[in-house]
Amino acid sequence: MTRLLLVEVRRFFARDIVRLFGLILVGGIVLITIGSFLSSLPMTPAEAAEADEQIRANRTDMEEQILQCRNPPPATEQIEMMEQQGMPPEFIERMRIDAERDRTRRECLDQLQTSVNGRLIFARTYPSNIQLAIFPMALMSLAIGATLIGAEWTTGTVTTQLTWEPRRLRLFSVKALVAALGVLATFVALQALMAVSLLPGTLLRGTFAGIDRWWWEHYLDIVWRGGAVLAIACLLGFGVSGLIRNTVAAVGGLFAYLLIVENILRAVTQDLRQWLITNNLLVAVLPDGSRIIPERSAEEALLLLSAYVFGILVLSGFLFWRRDVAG
Amino acid sequence: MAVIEVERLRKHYPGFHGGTLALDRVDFEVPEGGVFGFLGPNGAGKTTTIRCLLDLIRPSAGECRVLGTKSRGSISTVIDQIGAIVETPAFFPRFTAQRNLDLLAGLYGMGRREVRGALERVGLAGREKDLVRGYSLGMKQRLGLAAALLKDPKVLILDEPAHGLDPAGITEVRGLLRQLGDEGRTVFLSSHLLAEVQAICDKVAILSRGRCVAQGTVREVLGRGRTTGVLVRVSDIPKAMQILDAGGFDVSEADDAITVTADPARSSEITQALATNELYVQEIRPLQVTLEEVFLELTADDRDEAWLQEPPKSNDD
Repeated sequence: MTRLLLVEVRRFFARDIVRLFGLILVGGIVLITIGSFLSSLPMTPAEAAEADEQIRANRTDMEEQILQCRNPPPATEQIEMMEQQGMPPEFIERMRIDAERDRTRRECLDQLQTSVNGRLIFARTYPSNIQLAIFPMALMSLAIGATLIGAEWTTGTVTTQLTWEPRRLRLFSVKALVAALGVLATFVALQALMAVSLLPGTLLRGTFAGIDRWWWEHYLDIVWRGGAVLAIACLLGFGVSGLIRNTVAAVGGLFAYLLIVENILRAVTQDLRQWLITNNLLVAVLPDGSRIIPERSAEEALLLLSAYVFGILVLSGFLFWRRDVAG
Repeated sequence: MAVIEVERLRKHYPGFHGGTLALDRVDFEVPEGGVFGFLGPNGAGKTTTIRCLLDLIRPSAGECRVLGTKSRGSISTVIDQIGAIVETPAFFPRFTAQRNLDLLAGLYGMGRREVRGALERVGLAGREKDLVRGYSLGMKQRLGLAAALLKDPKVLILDEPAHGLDPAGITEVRGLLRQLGDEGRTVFLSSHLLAEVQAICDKVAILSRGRCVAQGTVREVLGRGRTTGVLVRVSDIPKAMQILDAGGFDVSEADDAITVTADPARSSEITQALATNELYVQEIRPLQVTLEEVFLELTADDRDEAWLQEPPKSNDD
């Protein structure tokens, strides 16, 4: 089992698509790093000290704000301000409902961003960039998962491999496991690279101020939700590609379903919205995802998505075990 | 002891108009050691049989055993002793030959040394760093053979291993397979190259329309073919043809000799007829029956049908 696992890991990282996507991500990180550096300004030591102090002062208010996530105070001031600006009543009412609704701790943490003009704040830039990378990475994970098994069928290498490891369920399970682990490993590597790439800019023009327990809670929340979404996307691609035995058809079919069919379903009926993959993905990824499906937490959305993927994998695994390898 | 046993093997592919019957109660046994030839025209069911042996497809009925173990569901217990090529060997085209074999070798804890040995044995040493996508069909076949040999297997199941090889390559592979057979391994060789099969195989089975129509030693199978002619060499061919024609023989000229369509038992009548007319025979011998002739004779019905209907892809052997 260990040998099979190691071989599959080697196969995973030797694949062109994994390397290509890795390069794209590295390219993206380089661009973000350069952008962050250029958009920040050099500061004198006095200015830097002042900015740090401002960040620390902001963070001391955070505990109170977090506590206000539940039962927020009436948004009287904001409403008055909007009325003075002559905004339409229905708009003001929408804003009031939004301002006074209960927020999740996750949502509040995400809003606790400290910003100081001209300063590269690691505590703010780093998690934002990671969060930004999750959507493109989810698409890449889906394609990687699909190609891992689809390419085996297209090239016929699955036949060769089955003459070495004929226990099909074991082979299928290990491939699926490696696909998910490989994507997660790539995600971890991305975080490390992103952190390293932001170091020079932070040291020269920025600050590490603001990295406290709230920050860690917020960051780890992004990481676990992001990791879960990437693994789910990868296994979704893997499962569907295993059913169809073709990468292009699987990826094309999945995108067609997610972008066209689910949009139609969303438009046709309200009842189905809470069951749609895209809606649940948004709930899982976005800090304020509960706006998309009321009363659904990111954890519940991930659980539902995991159940979908598990079902697809079970069917795909069953067919991998049962069907003839005849072509 | 039989290394491969196939008993009443049947495979039916469902489909429109009743589907396709690829194998119809096929029976044969492959003894331990030596080279066993498995012959048949396109669509006869050779690759389907090989896939059943390797548990790649489920038989509709019947059973296969390799090394005494049922193929269906249990092949994993003996797979480390089986090397196989199924149709054109498939490898990752964007990986080097070395990497492709390394990945397979890793499954059994083998290292670079074994991979290098296998590549050397099939004549790919020096090309191991090339990407497989740049390989010719013949080189891919060699790589497939290297993969099959990598496990140092007791049994080799090879589906058209010489497909795509040039004449020199065919000779090399022929020598290698014979050598493997002589080493005591069992080589199960599916091939269209009948002259090659005749040259290196100890036993053969012929498959036609999903049925095994002949099996035994090469000599036994050749014995099933009809010897229908006698070759006669004389100094004056036109005169000899005239004499034999007048004597009621069916004659034709072929490469400085005469072919007489007759039972070889009538050779004495032929020599007597010529000698009476003062023509003395330089050489007379029965026309040798080749495996190809026996094969064509035994599979005539199958080939007639093949003209009318191409076999389905799933049955593309």
